[in-house]
Amino acid sequence: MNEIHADLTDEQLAILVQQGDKEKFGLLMARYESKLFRYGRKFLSNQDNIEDVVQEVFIKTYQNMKSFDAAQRFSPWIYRIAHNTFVNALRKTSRGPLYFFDFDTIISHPIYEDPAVFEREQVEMKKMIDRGLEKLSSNYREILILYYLEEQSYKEIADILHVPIGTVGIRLKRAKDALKKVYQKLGLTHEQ
Amino acid sequence: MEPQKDKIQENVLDKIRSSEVNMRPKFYHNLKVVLLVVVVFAILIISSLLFSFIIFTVKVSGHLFLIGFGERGLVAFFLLFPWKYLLVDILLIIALEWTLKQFRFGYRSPLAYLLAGIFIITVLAGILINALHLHEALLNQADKRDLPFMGDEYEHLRRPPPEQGVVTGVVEDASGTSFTLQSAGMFGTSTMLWEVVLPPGVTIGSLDRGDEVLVAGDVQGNMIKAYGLKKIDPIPEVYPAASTTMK
Repeated sequence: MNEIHADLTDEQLAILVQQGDKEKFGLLMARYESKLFRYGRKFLSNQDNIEDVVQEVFIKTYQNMKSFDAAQRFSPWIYRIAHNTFVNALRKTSRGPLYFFDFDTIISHPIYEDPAVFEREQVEMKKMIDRGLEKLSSNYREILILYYLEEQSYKEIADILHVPIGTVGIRLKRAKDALKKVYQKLGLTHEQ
Repeated sequence: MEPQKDKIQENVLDKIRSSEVNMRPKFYHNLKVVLLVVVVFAILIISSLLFSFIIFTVKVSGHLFLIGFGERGLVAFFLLFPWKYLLVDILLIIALEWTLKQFRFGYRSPLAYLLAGIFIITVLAGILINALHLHEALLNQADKRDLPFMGDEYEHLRRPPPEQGVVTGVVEDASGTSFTLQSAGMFGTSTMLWEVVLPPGVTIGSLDRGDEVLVAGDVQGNMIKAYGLKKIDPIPEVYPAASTTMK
């Protein structure tokens, strides 16, 4: 069955689910399960109930399916639901406040999104994220995952995190700097 | 595919098939958006009304003149400023900002720009409300005890409690370094006569009987030792008896 619908986009599948074709939701789950597991594992690094949380994401996605606007991309929409669910899961286990007020959301920042820079950095950043992510704060951790692992654009990340697009750029830069500092502290090199 | 993952898909699909998990109807989501829009407009209207009330308060009470009475006047102005309304208005603006963040244009706008936008709209709407004389109408209704809410707040504007050290009233009799002032109590049910001792170096000058004045000073019984005095525009329907002048 999966092969038959391989040519359908996520958005087309979502429309079919909205129209009542419940089984097509299985195809959407199959497409996003690995991605959400990866996002969840990295973001909720200390959680052992990741399966339950991902299942909750799918249930919420199905419940809110009719609010999805098929003129938009499905991917940022489901990541937004995942973000909210993961943040709630983190809140349950974290003692302190999860997110402090982000001063980077106050004014606009210049946006500089260069695909060539992304290509150049991605392999190196993926390796670094694997090693040093746990030492970063959750907001830095999440933006690195969304950009380098989940390959979401600035605009999509802005929709997922509900922040201005300029904030995505500046937060990403700060997250990279913080990750490099973690590497220096641990005495690691990028190749390790 | 990992067995654990297959299990999740099967679990969710089973719940969907057995109708344990259902899609919320489109109506539910539309209603949420409509409610949010209603909340946005409701907060905006209340916030603008409150802001216009603050402007009206400062204007009608004559407290703005206190700034011209030197250091003591400045302190009195800050003490008498309706901070509680301003605080409520700021909280409303923050609530409005938070509500607007639920919309794409809201969260994509930097906080400072969004707050500035809300503030400008509130100020413009507040000025417009004042231009429509809504608060004057409410004040006159409060005078007739015909205002079911905020009647006391409006009355305090027109007739501030004397213990605040600021009294507005009509000049009854003026001579030398003092004059008699008649002020009305709450809702105009009673009148009080004050002996006002002028600030040092100030003479009666052009004060006439029937002039409406704002006096700031130390209240001791029925005497006010003034440190500031200002002739103000009469407020309609407040002191209809005071019409003759001392000439």
